Amino acid sequence: MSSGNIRYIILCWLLCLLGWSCNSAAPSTQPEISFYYWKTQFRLSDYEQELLDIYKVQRLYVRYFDINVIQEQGTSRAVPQAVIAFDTQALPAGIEVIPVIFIRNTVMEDRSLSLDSLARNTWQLVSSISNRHHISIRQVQLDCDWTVSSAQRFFDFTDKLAQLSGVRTGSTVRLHQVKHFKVTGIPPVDTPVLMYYNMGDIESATGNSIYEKAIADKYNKSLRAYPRPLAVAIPVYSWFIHSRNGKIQQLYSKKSRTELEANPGFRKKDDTFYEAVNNHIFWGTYFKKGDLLKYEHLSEKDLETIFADLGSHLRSAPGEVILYDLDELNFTNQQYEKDIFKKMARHFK
Amino acid sequence: MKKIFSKKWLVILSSSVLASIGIAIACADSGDWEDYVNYYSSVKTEKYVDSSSIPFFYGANEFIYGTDLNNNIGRFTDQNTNDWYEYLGGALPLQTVDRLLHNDSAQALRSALFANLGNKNYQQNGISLRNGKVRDFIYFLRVAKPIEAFSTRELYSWYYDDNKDYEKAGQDITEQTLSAYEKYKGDAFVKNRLWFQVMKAHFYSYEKKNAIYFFDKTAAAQPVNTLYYRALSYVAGAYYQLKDYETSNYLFSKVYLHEPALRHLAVYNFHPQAEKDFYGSLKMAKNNAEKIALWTMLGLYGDELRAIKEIYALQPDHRNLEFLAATYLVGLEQRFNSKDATDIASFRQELKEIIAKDEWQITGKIAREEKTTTPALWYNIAGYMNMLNGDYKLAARQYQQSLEHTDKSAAFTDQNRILQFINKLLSLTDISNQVESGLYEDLKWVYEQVDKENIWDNERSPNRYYHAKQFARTYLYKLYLKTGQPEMAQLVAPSQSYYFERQAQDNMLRLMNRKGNSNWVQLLIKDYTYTKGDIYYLQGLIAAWNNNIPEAVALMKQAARNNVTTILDANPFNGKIKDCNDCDYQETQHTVYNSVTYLEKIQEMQAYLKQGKDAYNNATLLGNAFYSMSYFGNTRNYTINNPVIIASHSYIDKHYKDLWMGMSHARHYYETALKHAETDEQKARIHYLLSKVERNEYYVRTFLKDKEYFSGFDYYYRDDKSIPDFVAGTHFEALRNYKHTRYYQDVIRECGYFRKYITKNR
Repeated sequence: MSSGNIRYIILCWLLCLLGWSCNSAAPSTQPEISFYYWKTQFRLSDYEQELLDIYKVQRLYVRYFDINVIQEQGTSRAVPQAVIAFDTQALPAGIEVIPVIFIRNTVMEDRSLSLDSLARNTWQLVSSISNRHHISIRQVQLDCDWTVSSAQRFFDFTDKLAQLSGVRTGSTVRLHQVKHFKVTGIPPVDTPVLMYYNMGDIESATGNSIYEKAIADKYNKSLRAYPRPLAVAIPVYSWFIHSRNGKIQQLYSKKSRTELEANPGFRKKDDTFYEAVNNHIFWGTYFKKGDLLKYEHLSEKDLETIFADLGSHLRSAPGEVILYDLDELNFTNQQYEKDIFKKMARHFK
Repeated sequence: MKKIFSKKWLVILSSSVLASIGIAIACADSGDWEDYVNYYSSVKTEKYVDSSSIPFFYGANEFIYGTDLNNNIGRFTDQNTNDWYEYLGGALPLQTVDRLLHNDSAQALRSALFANLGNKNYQQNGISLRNGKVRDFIYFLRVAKPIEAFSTRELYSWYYDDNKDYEKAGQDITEQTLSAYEKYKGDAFVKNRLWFQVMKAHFYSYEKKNAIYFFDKTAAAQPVNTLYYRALSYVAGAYYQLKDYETSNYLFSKVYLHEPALRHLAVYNFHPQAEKDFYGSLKMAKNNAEKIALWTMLGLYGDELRAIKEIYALQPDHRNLEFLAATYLVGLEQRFNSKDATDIASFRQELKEIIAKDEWQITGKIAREEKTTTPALWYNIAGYMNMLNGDYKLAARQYQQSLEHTDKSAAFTDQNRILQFINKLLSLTDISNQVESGLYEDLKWVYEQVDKENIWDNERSPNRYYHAKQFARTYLYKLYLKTGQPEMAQLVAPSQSYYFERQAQDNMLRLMNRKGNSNWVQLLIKDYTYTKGDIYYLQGLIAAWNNNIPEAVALMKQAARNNVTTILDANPFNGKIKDCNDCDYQETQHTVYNSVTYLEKIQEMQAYLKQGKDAYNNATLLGNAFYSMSYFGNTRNYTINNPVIIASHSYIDKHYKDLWMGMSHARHYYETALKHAETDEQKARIHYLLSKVERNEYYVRTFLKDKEYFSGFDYYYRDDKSIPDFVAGTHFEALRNYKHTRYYQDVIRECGYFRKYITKNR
């Protein structure tokens, strides 16, 4: 990393601070509950519709597409992937849709890519998807695991997109980016959202990559120092990690533990691990004897802890809690009550 | 490295009918290197089989030789062009046929031709509609082109319209296509192609299942050609969407069986959800060939051994057993690689547990019976299994039997030697000079082959050596640990931490310097990561940090004699107001110092100082020299160039941290200088230099304390507010008494913090 870069980031950070000082939202006592929608085909089940009603959801953060880099004849090209398709079903009335773009960090790391054309392309695709489905947008959110070396380009990109689109911008902020904001910088967006999940590495044997109190604690104390008010994103998903001889094979999200426990091809070792007792096909995958499935999820107690920790560590109560992600399977597989998050929000005062 | 798509990713690309799959992490950033076949395998199985088997060799998570599935759109263009060119009998040049079929730039021309299809006198760009076959061609194009808008979806487009997943062909298109097909009464070639377009239109419509109905009604009258199997793939895809996995997979297996051009596609789309789906498909199989196709696909889906067993029972000389066997052997190697106990007995036990009982029954029988097309491959498999099981004699015999079934050309004898070498190693539980000399020729040979090998070129070399070398090193490491030979263990498994202790450094030097080392030891030393010079240099660094300069000079000279020296990036005798390494590097150096002359100069000055010669200047320069030698100074490359020491600009192993960050010698010499200072200018300078020492000591005590990585503490971070201002010590304060000196004014100008300090403490 060049020294100039760092200096620039720090400078930028200072400027941003000045620019933002009059911009913080007044905290409300009860945060609004919103959801991410992360599937490639937009279609709401009755159950999901009911969740929107229960929490009086005002905003839905819909992933429109990912941006990745591909190599073609030796040159890099930034491309959209997994562009969302909308079913014929109408979008829920009265709910604001906020497009979310997931950008791989490799895109920001690749200095051969022009940020101007990336911003133009991104905005063009965002607006044509929105126009096609009569969605009027007031904000775009970016989701990128930027690092010290890509921060400046990511921030430049958010600036360019903001200028081009004229709408407000938001960005997810990872825990490490919050803790080390003096080095990684603060994204120059209207609404930073603390991403309170994906904490650990995906590992076959230990830990919980979604959320682990011990890891969270390493960061919690830094939350107060973050100079901007943060909305928070909280996980409601679960998944299984499939490993063979200690090597990770695949992740299965939205799968039911009940279904797994009904499969005689697996033996439950403990609350977390299931072991294949013979070679067989299940969940559309070939499992071999000895393969392990590790269940990662959040108990109701974990969720309580998250809300309590955030309530005591954030400088100001978040105006909004975004749940990742809206899928009935997340609730049914983990046996969450539909209104589970209503009582959790009391931690924010 | 040839990067190919992982299997899971291709599933997404190749088939829009697959609605949900697990999240593929095989294509994540990690693991690329470890997933590369030359890294984890010692057997180049390709040479044992027919070339037609090689495209189906499967390694860690992917087909070893890739597939063309990332180019679905272009796969049949050449064939299409040629077929139509032939049909047209030369009425149009090949390029024109291709252009009309596939080129977007021919849009206007095509439109004009479509519009004038009824006019036999029409002519455009040399294309005359007088010819009936040309009219058929244009008629076909008019039917086919609208469907293409839905079928040839651009994968990565910034235009929403190109992302056709959300939009399917409407009823108007399917009906138009169907009616065009039904109305056409001409040539069978054209009729067949129109039929395929109807299949295609249905498949890309909102009602995929109509592809099934239409196929069932009409397929019997169609020629069984590539189009037929492409159409059958659509039917299979439609069944998948209907969640009829039994039929879907059965049909994909038929495509696999009959149409080589669609084999990889069929394999990727074969997707039973549960055991019962597969058995359901198997029940549909009408003969052994169909059953074998299904078992083959199951083999590639995840269980090659199960497939091998079933196929062998049906037809022991079936060619598909070749790539399934190769895949099985690569799998054995990967299981072997995953075991890593350091203790020999535990390691052997781990290896024994690799193979399950049923595996023995299947493979032993196949090797013994010699009924397959590649007995040589099967003997290697049997040998490998017995080797893992600890029966080294039998393994050696079977490797030899394998060789007997080949033409014994160099490729096969070398392969035999690699496997026998691994087997020989594994058979050892102890190591002695005698054992070493017995292994010497083989080890030397493997090392030499690795040097010649281009590990990234999997296709060229008939064998793989890299993995054998790595295995030899890890296994020898276990043996040397067991027999209590830490230096030898270090030679095969280099580690920087070995050198933390002086005794270990000396032991290694003694070994390296020993006269009459065996060929074996010499070979290991030659291949070793660190040289004698590196170790002397490390000792030189440590001696200098300890202010043991005569010894340091001697050691650095030894290092230099062994080709290890460093030219210093900056003059280490300068003591600047600002610690800015980059600024120092850019300055012209009138005398360029290296790791030897630097220390010699120090030694010389120390002698002068002892004699009382020019005490102030010599003491000051010595202070500067020791300051420069520290982490805070301008000679970092003098330290971090040494590969044995674990250090960088932002990291040093805690073992060396106190030495590198220590200020005591710099302080000592500056204090000596202060005692000898006569003028106020001199005193001002030394107070300031000592204040830098105080500052560094403060940071070592506070900010840098217990820090493993200390990036952030650098000149470049001088604006970083997270680094606390140091609490000024006595010398900063003392400097205030020298306001009248020029040096003081220089400090005021260059050192912002001092400026702030005196303003605050006025």
